[in-house]
Amino acid sequence: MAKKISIARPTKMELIRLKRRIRLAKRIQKIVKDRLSILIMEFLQMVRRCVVVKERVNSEYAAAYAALSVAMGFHGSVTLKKEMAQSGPTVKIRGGTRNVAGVSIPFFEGEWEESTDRLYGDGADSSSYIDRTCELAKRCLEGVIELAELEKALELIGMEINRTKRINNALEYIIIPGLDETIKFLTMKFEERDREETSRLKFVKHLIEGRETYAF
Amino acid sequence: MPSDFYLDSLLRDFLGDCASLNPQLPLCRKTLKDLLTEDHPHVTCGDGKDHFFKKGELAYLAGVIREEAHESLLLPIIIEVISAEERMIVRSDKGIEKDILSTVLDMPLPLSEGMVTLYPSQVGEIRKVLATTTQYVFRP
Repeated sequence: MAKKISIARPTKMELIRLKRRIRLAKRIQKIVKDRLSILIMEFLQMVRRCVVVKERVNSEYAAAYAALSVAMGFHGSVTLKKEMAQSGPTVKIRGGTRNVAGVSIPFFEGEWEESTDRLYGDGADSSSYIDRTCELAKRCLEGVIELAELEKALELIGMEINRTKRINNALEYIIIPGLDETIKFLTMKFEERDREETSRLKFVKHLIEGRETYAF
Repeated sequence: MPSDFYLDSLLRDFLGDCASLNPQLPLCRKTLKDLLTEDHPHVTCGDGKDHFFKKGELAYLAGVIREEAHESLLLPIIIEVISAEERMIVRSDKGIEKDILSTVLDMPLPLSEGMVTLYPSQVGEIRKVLATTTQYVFRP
């Protein structure tokens, strides 16, 4: 049985106010439910994408480490470190926020400089093994940037889904039934009052008729 | 006139009724042409936070539509979720948004009374491709 909402006095104005409140609550509950379904849809999409990106990043890292081992075996670690030390990073990461159905989630976009194809410089000791390693390392970095965005977004959307679910449940199972119960209670009270008034008037009419008959 | 200060008719309709239900709604949408020239393309939302666009998505949109339409396309594209009617629509007065959505979904979309009706699975596909250039709005 739903709990009645406490009201100041059982008046008809209060009944009108409650009816307005329940109409508004039902409209908002529909919107909250839609928002919840949209958030769940976005969450599931992100989960699927996260799984794909993670698998891709894992395989790219495996390939990159294998290529690095080959390059190290061919050139030696000293020459390889000399090649890697020759130039700085050529990637810029643009960060910000974006909004998904009211949730602010992080946003990262990597921007690679067009002049360089590789992460590290064109030294005299360079070879196709180093080129290959650089190419794979670049792909790994792109995957890591994408993964960073996805994982944080999943966490934030998950929290928002929990919060929205609680709001939806509160509206659906506590507030709206409570308002409904209070409206029924007030309606019954007014009907009872009307019945009492009708029976009181009948009794008074009967008394008056009796006196008239007696006087007559 | 810079599009920063222009309040298009869609936002004007919304700001009166549903602004409190949709804090993510941008205060002012921008045209694709303006966004392509910015270093950090973004719009400011009703809650004061910024919503950034991915340059890759903007380049994709620029490739899909004619160059003359870049000035007419306002971003983000608003997907209206109408709870009372249980449907989702995108308003497209000039048909530009309809062309973009048709290209993304790879299927023709009917346009009636300046609106394109979408199904949830279609919205999912659109959001995969245009994650930052589309925005949800919830209406009663």
